Amino acid sequence: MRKIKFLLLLFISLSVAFGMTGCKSNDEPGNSDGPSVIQDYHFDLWVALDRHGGIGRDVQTLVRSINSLEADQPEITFQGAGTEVNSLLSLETILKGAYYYQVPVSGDRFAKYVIRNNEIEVIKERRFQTNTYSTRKYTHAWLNDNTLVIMASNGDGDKILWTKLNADDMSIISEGTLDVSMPEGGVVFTTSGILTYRASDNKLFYFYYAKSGGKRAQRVTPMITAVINPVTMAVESNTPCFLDCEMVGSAYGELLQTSTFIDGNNNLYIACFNTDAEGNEHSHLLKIPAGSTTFDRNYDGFTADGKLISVIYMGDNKVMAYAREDQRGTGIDDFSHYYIIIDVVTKANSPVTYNGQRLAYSSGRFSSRMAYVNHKAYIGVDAEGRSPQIYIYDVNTGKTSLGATIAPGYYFEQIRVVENLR
Amino acid sequence: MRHCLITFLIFICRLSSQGALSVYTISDEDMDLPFGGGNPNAGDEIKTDSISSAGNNTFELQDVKVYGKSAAKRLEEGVFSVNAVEIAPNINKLVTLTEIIDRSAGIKIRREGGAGSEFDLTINGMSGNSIRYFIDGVPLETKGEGLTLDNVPLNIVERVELYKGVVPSHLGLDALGGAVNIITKRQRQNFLDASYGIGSFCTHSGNLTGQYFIPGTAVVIQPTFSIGYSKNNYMMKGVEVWSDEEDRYIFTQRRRFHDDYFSLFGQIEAGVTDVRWADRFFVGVSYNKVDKELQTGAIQNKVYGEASRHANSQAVSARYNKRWNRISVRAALSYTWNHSETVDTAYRKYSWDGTWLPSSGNELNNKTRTLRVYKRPLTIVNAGADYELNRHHVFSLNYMFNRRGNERYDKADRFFEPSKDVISKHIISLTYLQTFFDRRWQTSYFVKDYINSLSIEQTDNFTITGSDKIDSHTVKSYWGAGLGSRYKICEPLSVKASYEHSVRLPLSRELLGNGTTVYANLALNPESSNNYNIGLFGNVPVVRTSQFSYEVNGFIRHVQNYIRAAVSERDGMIQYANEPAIDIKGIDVELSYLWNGCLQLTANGSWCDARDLKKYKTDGNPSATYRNRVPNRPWLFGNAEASYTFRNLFAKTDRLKVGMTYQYIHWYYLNWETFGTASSKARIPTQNVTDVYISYSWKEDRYSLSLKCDNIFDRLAYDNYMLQKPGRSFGAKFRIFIN
Repeated sequence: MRKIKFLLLLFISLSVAFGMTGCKSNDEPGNSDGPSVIQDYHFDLWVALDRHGGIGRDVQTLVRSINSLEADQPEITFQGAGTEVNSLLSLETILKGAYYYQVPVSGDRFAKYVIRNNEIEVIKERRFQTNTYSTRKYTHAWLNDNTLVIMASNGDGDKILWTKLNADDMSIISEGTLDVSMPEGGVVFTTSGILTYRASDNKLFYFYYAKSGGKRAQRVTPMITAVINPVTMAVESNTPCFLDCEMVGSAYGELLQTSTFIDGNNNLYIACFNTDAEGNEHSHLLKIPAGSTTFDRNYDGFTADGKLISVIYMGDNKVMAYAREDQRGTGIDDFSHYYIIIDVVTKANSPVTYNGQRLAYSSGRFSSRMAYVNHKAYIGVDAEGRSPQIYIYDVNTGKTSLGATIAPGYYFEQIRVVENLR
Repeated sequence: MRHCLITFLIFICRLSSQGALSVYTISDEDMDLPFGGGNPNAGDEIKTDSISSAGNNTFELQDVKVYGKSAAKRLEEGVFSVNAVEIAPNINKLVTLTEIIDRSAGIKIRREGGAGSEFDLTINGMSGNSIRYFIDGVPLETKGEGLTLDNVPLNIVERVELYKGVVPSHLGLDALGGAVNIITKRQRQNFLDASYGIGSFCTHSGNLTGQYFIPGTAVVIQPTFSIGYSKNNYMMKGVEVWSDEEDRYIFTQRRRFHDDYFSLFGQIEAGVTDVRWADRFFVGVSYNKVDKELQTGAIQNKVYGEASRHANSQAVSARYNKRWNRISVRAALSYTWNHSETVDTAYRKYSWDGTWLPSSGNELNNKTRTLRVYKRPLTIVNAGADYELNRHHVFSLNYMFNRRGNERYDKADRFFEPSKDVISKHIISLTYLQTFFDRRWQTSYFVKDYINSLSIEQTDNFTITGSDKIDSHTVKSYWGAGLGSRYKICEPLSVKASYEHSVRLPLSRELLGNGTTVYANLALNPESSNNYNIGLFGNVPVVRTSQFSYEVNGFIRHVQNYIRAAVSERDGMIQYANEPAIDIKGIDVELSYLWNGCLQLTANGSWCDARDLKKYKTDGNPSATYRNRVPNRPWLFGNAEASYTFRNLFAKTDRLKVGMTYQYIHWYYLNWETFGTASSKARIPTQNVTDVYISYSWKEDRYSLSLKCDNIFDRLAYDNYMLQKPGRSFGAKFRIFIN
């Protein structure tokens, strides 16, 4: 009888354990709104030589796939290791599951790649049809696992183009021009804008603004939100923001860094900034509440100083953010960038600490060294006078632990979480 | 000819009263001997061998050998490390100066494509833009921006001097890695030289030069006219084309379809020679036009089908030379109007099969339509004086003023902000030349001052060009100095060494871009370099009728703020950038064997190792590339040539020359070699290119016809990453020379 009880308990335990590991994270207590759990994944670390990438700089870029970023890993080097990607791929990329999606450096196609065994494999490429896009200058959103929407302004900057792709074979489902007119005083639209999709109300949100003409064009409108029907791509509403601000990182969509997220309650957030009369930039984390298509005038989740650069949602109302303390410098190489955790409910902005000490400031204005997977955020610090260091923030415990170290000498650009191909 | 020989033998006999081996020097008065082949010049050595005395006043001549060293040979045996390339052996071939120079030891020319494409010349590891170009000591750019080594008419060129590393101060510009000085012909006779060449890919070239002395006066008129055209429609191998049938990109071969090149150059100079107040005084006007369709960006998968570039220049110039006993002076003045337009107004996205789709932006960068206009007027003043204290000591003072404007505006892009920039340079140099031991030991010392004045207005693309990081008006001064010495131990062995601390101010192309494929980088700093050369050379008579010559040159360059071209695969653009420090060392070797004046074998090889000495990254942390080999540059290459000349084959004074050239360039990485797995790295493959030619001339070179086949084995050839050069091609040229 005891044996039967024991076997029964064992069976139940195994069943529960199996069931837990097979479930998504939103089945777990305390993480009901967290992003999905990925069972089988690795990290792609992107580094550059010569200088930091981004803003059109072309530098030798290497990608190395690493299974673990825990502290017990040997120092990560790129000497004789990793994939040299810059003759084909740009640092600015879309990643979903196991695949990278880009308008590659040839600038004439949409393409889907996988980086495997230190090689870039072309999964599928599709020549442009009507709308053409520049490498690294577009924004995107996923309507579902297979439908990708690309948007950007055209060469003259007076129209906003969209293309809907079947990500499976990269075929063009449909494409067109967004039905928005140039706001008064505007001459060109922002290069890419920011596009995001909220499944709860099945709407695309496209954030853009208008600029004066010329190479030193000035923004002439506040950020505008175009709410789009994802099926017809018809614009349902087109509303200027109550705050005279613009989105962060709007030139490159969210190909380098992410400026939007949707929390577990289907509130949509976007990082943006405005500039005061003295030229100082002030950041904001604005919210479009669930079911609404306009901003909550009373909400600003960013209460720290400086400029908010990139955000990722970790569940439990927690956001890992990459920000810049402008007093320490605003250059790409300045060691003025830091990590904070934002609670979107309480609006608490807390610097990430390790052993009670705030993490060192990093260089890399356009770096994207934040990745989230399975309740952990992996963040990279590229600090002055020391090797690039990865830290691991556990969302459940709120603790930060030491991760792997990268050999000195590289410009540490990105951490990406990539699903393994089965 | 026979008269000449007899006259010359009498001259030898008159000089020699000792028999046995003697060495004499031809004086200026003896210069009128019209030699066939290489002309002896003042200062050339003449050896008489095996002259035995049969009595007090009579001699029995067993054998007479005459070694009349050409000016080129004498230059090579001077204090500087220099290759002097005679054009005469190649003048009948359908080749350009670029192709001829590319065969020289230590020289590498990297082309982006076919005729008229951009090229980059490297001397002993220093990048092409470290090299300055001159024509008769005056900057070549005075003839217009469109005139390059590609379209200088071959017929006017006597030789090309390639200075490696250390550059003599009379070439007054701020050359850092070397200089190319084109020496034009100076014949004292009337002549007309015309040629026409035709080749694969619809290539045509025509040259017409002449000289006419107005009888009874000292006035001479020298017209020059040159025209060239090529469709450059050579086959591109392994290019990507979309296949609807296969629903994917396939690799195939397609012809280039938008790469036409047209070049026109005309010049007329008139002046006087050998008058009381001037040895030479010439004034001239010239016109230069280049039209170039653009087929690709900086890599070949950026395909264009409409964009083009058009440039034209007009120039006026004057030059003056005079020598009074121990003092000689020279002066040159020129003003050049340069006007260029880059047309990029088509909203099309082309493919290698020539098809296109409507595009959302222009071709070059998917932005708005542009028709960019550049006006770059150039003023050059070059003046100098030499004072010969005695036969051992000579002093020279040289001044060069170079002012380049850069006005930009756009006829199509209404938002483009016009700008006017000015770059001015003053370069003053002082040289002291000493000669001892009967000219066996020569040493030259020199010092230079470079003053750079910059006025920049352009502010667009500031994140890329760095216009927000510089003062718009700056004046800076830099110093350079050096010396060169040569000691001739014996004919088979001479040694020379030279050193220079030099400064190179950025070229307008590097600083301001070219409007098409090169971004401006306004934050570029001048390069400076410590150049060391040491060389051995000599001539070794092997047997009575043959001669072996050799030259070995080792060099070291320590370069600060090295200016390197960085290719952006993303944008298909190039931008020049400073590397904090580069260390270059290398060696080049050239061997030559001549048998009986018929068989000539030449081989050269170069090894050049450039290392990055940048210890720290831009953020101050250690750099991973420290001591790594600098990427994207050939470091091992060589050439070989064999030719045989048949004389008097079908008629007296005819010549038939057959030959073959071979070029090897070892593969190299596009990016830093140490990083990434080898299989994933972009590389520029090894080149093995063989050319053959045959040329026939008759009536003492009055007429000539030549045929050639380049890249006879149709090998893939790349000098730059993903920029394919032509495959097998054929050419023919007919030339007539009347004097």
